[in-house]
Amino acid sequence: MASGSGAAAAAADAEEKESGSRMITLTSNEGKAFVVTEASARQSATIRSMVDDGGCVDKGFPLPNVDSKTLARVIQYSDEHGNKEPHTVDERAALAKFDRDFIAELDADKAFLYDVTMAANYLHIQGLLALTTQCVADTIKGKTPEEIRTAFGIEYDLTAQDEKEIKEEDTHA
Amino acid sequence: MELNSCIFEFDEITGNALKSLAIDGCSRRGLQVPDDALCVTAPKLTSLRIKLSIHDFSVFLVDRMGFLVDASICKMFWSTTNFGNNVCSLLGSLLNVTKLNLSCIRLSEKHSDNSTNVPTFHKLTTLCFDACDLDKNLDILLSFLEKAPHLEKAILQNCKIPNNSRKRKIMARANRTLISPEHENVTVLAFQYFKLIKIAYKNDNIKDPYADDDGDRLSALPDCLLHTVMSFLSSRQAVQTCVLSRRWRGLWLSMPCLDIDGDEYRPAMANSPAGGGGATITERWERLENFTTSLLFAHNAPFLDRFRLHLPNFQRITATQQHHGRQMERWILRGFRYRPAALEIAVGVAAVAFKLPPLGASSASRLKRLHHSGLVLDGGFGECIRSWCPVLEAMELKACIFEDLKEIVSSTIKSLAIVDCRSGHHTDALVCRMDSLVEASISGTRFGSDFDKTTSTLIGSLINVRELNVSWFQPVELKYGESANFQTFHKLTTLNIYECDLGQNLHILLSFLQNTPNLEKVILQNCEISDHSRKRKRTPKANRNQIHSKRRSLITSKSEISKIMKMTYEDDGISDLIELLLRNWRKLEDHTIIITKI
Repeated sequence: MASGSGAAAAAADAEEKESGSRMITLTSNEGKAFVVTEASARQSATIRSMVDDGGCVDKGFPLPNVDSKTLARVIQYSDEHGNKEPHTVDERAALAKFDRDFIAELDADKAFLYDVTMAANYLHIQGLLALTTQCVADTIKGKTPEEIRTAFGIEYDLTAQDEKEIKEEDTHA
Repeated sequence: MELNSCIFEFDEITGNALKSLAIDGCSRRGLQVPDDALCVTAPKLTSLRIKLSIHDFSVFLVDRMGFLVDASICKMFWSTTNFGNNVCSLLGSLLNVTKLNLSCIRLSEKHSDNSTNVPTFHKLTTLCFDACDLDKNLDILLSFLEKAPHLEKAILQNCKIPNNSRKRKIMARANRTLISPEHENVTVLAFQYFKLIKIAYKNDNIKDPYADDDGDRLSALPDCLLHTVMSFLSSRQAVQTCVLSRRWRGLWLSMPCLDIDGDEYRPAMANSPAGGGGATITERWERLENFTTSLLFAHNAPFLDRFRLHLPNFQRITATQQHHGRQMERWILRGFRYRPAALEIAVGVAAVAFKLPPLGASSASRLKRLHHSGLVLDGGFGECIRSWCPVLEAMELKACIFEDLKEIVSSTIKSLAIVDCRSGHHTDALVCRMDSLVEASISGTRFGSDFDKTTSTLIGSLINVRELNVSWFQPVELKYGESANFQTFHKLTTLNIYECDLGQNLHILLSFLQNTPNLEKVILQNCEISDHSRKRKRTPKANRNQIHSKRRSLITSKSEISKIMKMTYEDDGISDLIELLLRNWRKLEDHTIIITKI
């Protein structure tokens, strides 16, 4: 690693990364290929570490856990966050607005929201994961248990024994 | 040993010391005898990967692989072979395997009677079917489940399950009903832990009478994601999810973020279910106490990501009854035991101040962010930061009182904020020695003349800082000569000064500029330049009010290695500004000054 040529190669690598000119192919589990900029792909810590480990950038990355519809939506997010770096107050506001619109759209389709959450978790896109889980948490906030069950379609399956236990241990609830 | 795309002309592999074997896409010459098997004799084999190609052949493992831990069998083209005798006999020699992957194998109905041949895997804990075609009645899957008593995890990925009726029954047996998916493209994830199976299924285009059941995909998310969701809730609300369903029953016990918020017990929240309208302050405290104690003592995560104790409204109680102070101390100590990565304790500015109990050596070992508010911090706190916080990166102290806390030493802190804090009566000014400091914010609002002396000492000690924010800092009694005690800030590149009185003749700003050789950017916002009236300086409160009413220049200054200053301002005080600059022209003569009115 300490050799001169190695350092030079690393520098060239860094330069290339900075320019973000490299394109990376992500393949969904249905075999559909998505070509994204490296800056966009680096939003994912999973892909970032594979790229940094000198992984097969040219061959692309198959994502067996993500379907095309979900991947397209995830890429929409990482493009917005990876390809632009907000410098001014206005740019930051625009990005915040993008996040709000993005999550509002997802919130309307809960099943899809979970798919995106799973994908964000699998790809380690922290910003997106925080956005989607926060969205679920916001739905829970301030609701009674019955309202939460209705909101998410949770089936009540506690037995009388469970209920008794809950009463005993949670005097506060 | 790895064999890739080879053509075998032999039918035996023997290796007494061979530990790992991979066969990928190999084929054999001479398929006249299709039953001809490749024999592998390798008693020490621990890992086996076989990818069978279209030129299919059987593999027999001759020895019972006593050491085999990890096995993966993949058929690249599933059209040719079913889950037939050869795979079955191969599996038969994998008795001791703990992890088994089967890919692209068709478990067809035709051979379902073979399933009885599946041997008992005593050690199998993880079973993964990837892109397999499960037989109609899931017999193979079930026989695996039956013959693997210690199975902890079964993962079915991209598996096809032909549509039929029995499946629902099977899934019912697994404690869950599965929607009958219309043919293919069903992803089923199953985890079995003893008798409990959780199944998540996905079917985008499903529009059948069971669609309602599909609603609870939330509960199908893995624990870690539900924990992330819970980390956005207060602990009270997070704990209350335990009554939702069995899935949620015990989730709170291991959630990684605890956020105990006394605000939820405030009288203002009377109409919320949490609040307790009409309850006396003592009753409210009792509820909080009950909740917090049972939460902290029942909770069993080994570590916490965040521990937050926010009790801004109970200082009156702690002031009158020592007991409550002790109780809070116990909670904090209990929270420390979970070794939180982020710690946030806000107690409010109490009449009788609450002293932070000492953090033990191990409790701070994972601490990255620390945020204290309204606490008395003593020498023990300084000692803890110095000795026991190897990864601490950010510290924020708000409205704290430093009692015998003379210095904070840390080689890891990158970000520091000290807001509205003061030193106790007989305590010297606080000094911070932080080698890695990048960003620091120092602000104060309510303190009188002695604050400036301690503040200038504090700021002067931040010699490694790169970005410094100072706000609401009124240099009332600071004489020009004293400002020379700033050491040189070699690394400082950005200086932000918000809503400060820059003092007579800009002496604060000038002393900064003189001691910052690498400064690139100075931003002054809403700053006041006091003229000369001594009277005003003695009454800082009145002075602050006048900042808003009287003249409020926005001066933004950027200097390239402090040589260029750009100033913009928005009122008609230009004559004052020019006069001020003229007065200081000797100190500023190296600078190019650009003044813009906005």
